[in-house]
Amino acid sequence: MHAAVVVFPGSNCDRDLAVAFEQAGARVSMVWHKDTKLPDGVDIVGVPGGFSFGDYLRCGAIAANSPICREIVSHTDKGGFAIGICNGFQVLTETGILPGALLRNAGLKYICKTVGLKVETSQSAFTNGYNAGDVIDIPIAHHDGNYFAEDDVISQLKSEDRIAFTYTDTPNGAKADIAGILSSNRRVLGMMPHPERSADAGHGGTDGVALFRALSGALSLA
Amino acid sequence: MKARVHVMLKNGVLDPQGEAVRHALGAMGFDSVQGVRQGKVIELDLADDATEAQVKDMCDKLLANTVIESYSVEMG
Repeated sequence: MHAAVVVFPGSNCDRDLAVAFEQAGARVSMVWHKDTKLPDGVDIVGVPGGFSFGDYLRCGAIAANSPICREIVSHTDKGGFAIGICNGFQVLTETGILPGALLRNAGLKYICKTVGLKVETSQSAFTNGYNAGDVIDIPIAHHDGNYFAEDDVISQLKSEDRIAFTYTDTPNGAKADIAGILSSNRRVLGMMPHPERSADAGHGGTDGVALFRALSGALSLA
Repeated sequence: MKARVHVMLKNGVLDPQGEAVRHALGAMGFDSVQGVRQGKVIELDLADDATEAQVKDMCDKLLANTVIESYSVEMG
């Protein structure tokens, strides 16, 4: 598996994400936001957490219009894989690759803690290392993680089994308790919680490891 | 030429910041306040031949996220 991790000014989880990919056996290329091309042979693009462009205007809005994001849209349009975590999820919704938007947390506070996530589907290259119904512990760290989409979009996500993770105790007001969603071809995952921060015993938890291993397994065979 | 863009969360989208301001005003004794919505104003300095259609294009592509926000444009 060859993973590209995008770096924007203000990204701060890029190296953590690269390490999580590497520990799952991936070769990782770091890609700068001004790059106009993804490296050849990239299987998956990782859009990391952080505060790209200082969260100015809206979280992820300016990053979504950077040169590399045009390449990411083209990559996913062709059926390429991508994962956006936290700010990366915000960027993917701003590009339109994933539906909905992330609003300010309902309680207005920045929340940094480990939360319970229910795995809603194992039917994806990201989640097939879990069983549907599993509850895993993954950290969150965000101010704008309150998932919003119109009711018809939420219904569609449910009917197409595209809700990847829900919160067991929703901390941010997210509609339908949504913590992570899949694209219609199930090859793009966006999630607010940070699986790369639960990927090594030193992190205090390893529930995120199965996500990266599952991806590596799926993409090495692809 | 100048343009002024008003961006607001759409009706039906929870505005927790507006709610917090409403609570604070109520706590200060401003009993008449029944609701607060908080938005933003973006002022653009434009070349003289810029058009409202161009500003709306900027709103759709960057200045507003029409999934959650509505906007209005004042020219001049």
